Amino acid sequence: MKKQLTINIGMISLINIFIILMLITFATLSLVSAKNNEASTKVSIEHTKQVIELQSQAQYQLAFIDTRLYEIYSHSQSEVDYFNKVNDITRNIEGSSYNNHILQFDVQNDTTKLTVELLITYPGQSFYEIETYVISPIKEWQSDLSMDVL
Amino acid sequence: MRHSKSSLFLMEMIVGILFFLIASAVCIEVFVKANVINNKSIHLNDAKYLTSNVIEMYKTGSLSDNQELYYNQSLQQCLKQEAVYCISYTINDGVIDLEVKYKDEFIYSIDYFHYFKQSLGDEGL
Repeated sequence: MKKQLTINIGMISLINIFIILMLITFATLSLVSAKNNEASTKVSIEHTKQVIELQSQAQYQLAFIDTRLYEIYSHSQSEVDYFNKVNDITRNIEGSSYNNHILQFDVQNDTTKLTVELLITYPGQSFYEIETYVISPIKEWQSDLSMDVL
Repeated sequence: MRHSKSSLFLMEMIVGILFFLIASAVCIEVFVKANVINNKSIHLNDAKYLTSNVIEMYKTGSLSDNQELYYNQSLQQCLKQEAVYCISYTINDGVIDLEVKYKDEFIYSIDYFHYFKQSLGDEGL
């Protein structure tokens, strides 16, 4: 006698529910993953924009310093006189300092700081050499372990 | 008895298929939405990477004025016909303005000022 394959009533519903649950689970996971990617991309883009903006500000300061150094050089009698007058530049740049021919200034925003140190030279090829150009975070880094599902 | 059992099975089958269709339609929509969001993130990341590269090129002084650069999907520079990313830039008073388009759709922009150090012999000083 041949055995007939029979599907009990209710079996189809069970399989159906199982498949639908799987579909919903995978769809939810992919959406959550995509949203997290989007969030981290936005953070990364924002950080890059802030860094570029800081660098632009630093470059404006460098332009100002270069022009001022030229003016000081034009009105200086000697090398000693030139280096004595360089200190005046710090009055025009907030938070800057000048020590041992090193002019240091910072530009910063809420989260990041760019520190620049220039070695002021008596004009030859140029008026200064960049010694330090460092970007560092102001706030302490905090890990984001949140994983909001939808 | 046999007749009523078959019709019950058929009814269950029809209701099951109906539910499956509705659920799969909703899930496919969610999958598509996730894919769109993912693609957008990828394009933004690519745009960020490409603009950073162009800015570095600008810093070295190797960019000519106001041009368009074209990149393919693998972020290699290519001809306009093969391009998916188009970076157009304008340089004005040391400021470079960059705009990125993905398949003619604007996605990202940034500007940057760079000061080119001058020496005593230059006209600027």
